[in-house]
Amino acid sequence: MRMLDLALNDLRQVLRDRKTAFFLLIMPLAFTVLFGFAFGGFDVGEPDDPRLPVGLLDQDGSALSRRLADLLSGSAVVRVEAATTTPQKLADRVGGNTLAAAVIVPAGYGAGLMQGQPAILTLIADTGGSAGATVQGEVEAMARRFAAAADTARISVQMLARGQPQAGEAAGPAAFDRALAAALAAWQQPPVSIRATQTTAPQQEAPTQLPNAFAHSSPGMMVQFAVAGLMTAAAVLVAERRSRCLQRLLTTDISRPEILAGHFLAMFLLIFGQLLLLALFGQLLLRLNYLGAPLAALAVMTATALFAASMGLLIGSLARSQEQVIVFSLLPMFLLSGFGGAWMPLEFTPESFQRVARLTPLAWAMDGFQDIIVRGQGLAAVLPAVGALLAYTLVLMGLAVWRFRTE
Amino acid sequence: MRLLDVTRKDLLQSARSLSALIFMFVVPILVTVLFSFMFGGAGGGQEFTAPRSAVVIFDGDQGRLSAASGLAPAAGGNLDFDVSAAQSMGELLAGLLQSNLFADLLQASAVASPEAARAAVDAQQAAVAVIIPADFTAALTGAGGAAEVEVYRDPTLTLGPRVVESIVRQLVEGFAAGTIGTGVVLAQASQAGIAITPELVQEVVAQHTESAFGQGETAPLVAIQAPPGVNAGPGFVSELLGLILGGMMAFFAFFSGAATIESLLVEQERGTLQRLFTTPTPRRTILAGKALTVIVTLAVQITVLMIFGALVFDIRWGDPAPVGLAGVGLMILAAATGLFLVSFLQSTRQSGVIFGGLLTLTGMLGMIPIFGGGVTASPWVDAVALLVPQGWAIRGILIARGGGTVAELAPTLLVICLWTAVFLGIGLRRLQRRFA
Repeated sequence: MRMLDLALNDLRQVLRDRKTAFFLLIMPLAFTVLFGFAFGGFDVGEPDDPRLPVGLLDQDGSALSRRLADLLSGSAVVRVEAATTTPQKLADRVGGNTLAAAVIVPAGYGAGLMQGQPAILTLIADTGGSAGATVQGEVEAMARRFAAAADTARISVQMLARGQPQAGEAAGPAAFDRALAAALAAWQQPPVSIRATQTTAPQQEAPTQLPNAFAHSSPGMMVQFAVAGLMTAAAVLVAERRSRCLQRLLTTDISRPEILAGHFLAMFLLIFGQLLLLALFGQLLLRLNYLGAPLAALAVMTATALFAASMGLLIGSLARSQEQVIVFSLLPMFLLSGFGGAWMPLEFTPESFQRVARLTPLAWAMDGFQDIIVRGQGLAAVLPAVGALLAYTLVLMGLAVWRFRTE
Repeated sequence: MRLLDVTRKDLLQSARSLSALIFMFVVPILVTVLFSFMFGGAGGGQEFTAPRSAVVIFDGDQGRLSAASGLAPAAGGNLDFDVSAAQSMGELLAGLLQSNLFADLLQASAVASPEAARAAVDAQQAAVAVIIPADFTAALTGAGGAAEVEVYRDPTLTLGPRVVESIVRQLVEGFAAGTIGTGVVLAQASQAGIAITPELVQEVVAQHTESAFGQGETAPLVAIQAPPGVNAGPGFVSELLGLILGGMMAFFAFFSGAATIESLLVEQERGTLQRLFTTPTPRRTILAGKALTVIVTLAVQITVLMIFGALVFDIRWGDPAPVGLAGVGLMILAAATGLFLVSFLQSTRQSGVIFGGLLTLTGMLGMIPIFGGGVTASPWVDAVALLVPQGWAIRGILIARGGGTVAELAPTLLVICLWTAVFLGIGLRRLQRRFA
């Protein structure tokens, strides 16, 4: 009961501080939205045609380049906009995000294909982004099919010319065009194809649907600011010690474990509440399915909050001043967030970095949240992450208790 | 002389403050170092390379290739996989994926069942599972209908699965090209009355296979060109680290400006300021000494971070004149903003809201162009950054880094001077009234 009183007192103190709302809610929300917009989506698709807009500049003007344009127009991924402008202006439109990408068919493209010479399209795109990479995959596949069809037509014409040397027209451009059309038609139903699938999360059902830009920034900022939120909570402990309130408390019959448990409970409730509100924001406004597996979400949030609270307890027991609280909170926040993949997906980092990252608690928390909102998995899948976070909690709690006892 | 004494004393106090030093130097450098590690420890001109993706392959192909089918491509010179020994097209696909041909991109291994392949992805032991169906060879030899190779990926990953899918697609479509092309050529020949002999079939298949795989290896069909403002080529990592350190420098310069000028409040609360005012030193000299402290602090911070970035991360900040002007712009704006904000505070207890809240929020807004790697998804997002002083300071740094001239920097500097004049005017007026 006294433990609850202590926890409630801590919570009252923390929530009275105007910094709390900034660190716990406003900043993570702002960062989530900013990171999402900055790295995210391409948003110029038309409501009735969600395909990605791609400019097409035909500098060749041959029958083959027109056929290529027809092929691209039939794509389920890109929406071709014929352009009559300069390559530079097209590049500017891609840079200004009014086009997802632009394809330039160079002069001599058709002639090159007919003669079996290398014919290379130019694709202007930021292939580091989702939209650009999606267009790249589609345009490369189309170019490959078109080049293969042109090869078929060329081989066919050679064959006809060899079989009927006197055929004349039968082995000329008309024959090339006939064979090309037949090959392109056959490519509509290839004998073998690729079917891309993924785990159960209902994302990317349509080929043009890009990943939710907030699927990384939302859990990333949740775990980062779970640590940042400790600043105000740990500061209560330091203030208590400096005002000698703690020493007075120790003269009463309340035990040290009860005092620690009271502070721990306050921090846990604070961080858990923060995570809950941020998850609800993600669910309701960012269309991230945290509630797709409510038990799993609850488990990961609880484990993350327990870890953060134990870290807060340790910071509170180590820091001697408010200044030290800020340093002890923000430095781990930067380190753990960077290494834990809260800023940037770990897949982009080298293997050695990933190995170190897997040792950090925030990487486990990120895994847990992404198991739910991206992989669409349930409680069983998040258990390793929950277990790892609880192990960290025990270690940090142990250190905090030891520090508190030896004080 | 007294002015310098006030400045020296304040600088000493700042230098003794652990948190001040951490926010001025350690955090910006730490974040940049972290990002450099994220990109492979690249600092001195190394480039970003995509990490290898773990791939598991299940080959369920039940078909058998006849020796004379000719569907398999000719063995490459350095290939460590014997193409001619492949018994099926599935074995060929799996073998190529596991060969040294793709060893720098893939870490491929075989598994015993499709379930095991998907389970490996679900358990995050592999980024992608490639599942080859039982009728793969049959579909390619015309003995069966269409077949689908399943590429099952971890949805939390983007880069790796994209690379794997692209490779698998290229190989599978190369195989398909042989089948489609052979069918079309033979149909055309048949229509033209040419007799279809086994030798002719084999020749056509061989020509297509050679064409499909020779083309893929020798020349790309699509050349990628980055749009303006996107640097994905040489120097990408240094470029990115420059953006990050530039952003961090601006972000924390505003903290330093406010924190240094906060010494006025600290001294007021301790009563030392009032005592100083009773001495013959004019108040103007005392305030000027404090202002000089801010300027010196910011100058040291900006210079140290720039030199560190140039030496350690090989960051090219731009030509000396525009970079110097952008640095001075950042310095005066951060100092004026600090003065302006502190003039509204009654005590140091209120400073938490300013440092923890307002400066962080406006700093984040100003750093929007940094988050987007210099380019953001929408122009309006960039415009939001210019609503706050940090946005203009960062704009100045970005212009200088981008090779901008003094003339190109001038409009931004003008706006910075306007912000500075307004903040300085309001801040000084309020402080003079308070200490009158």
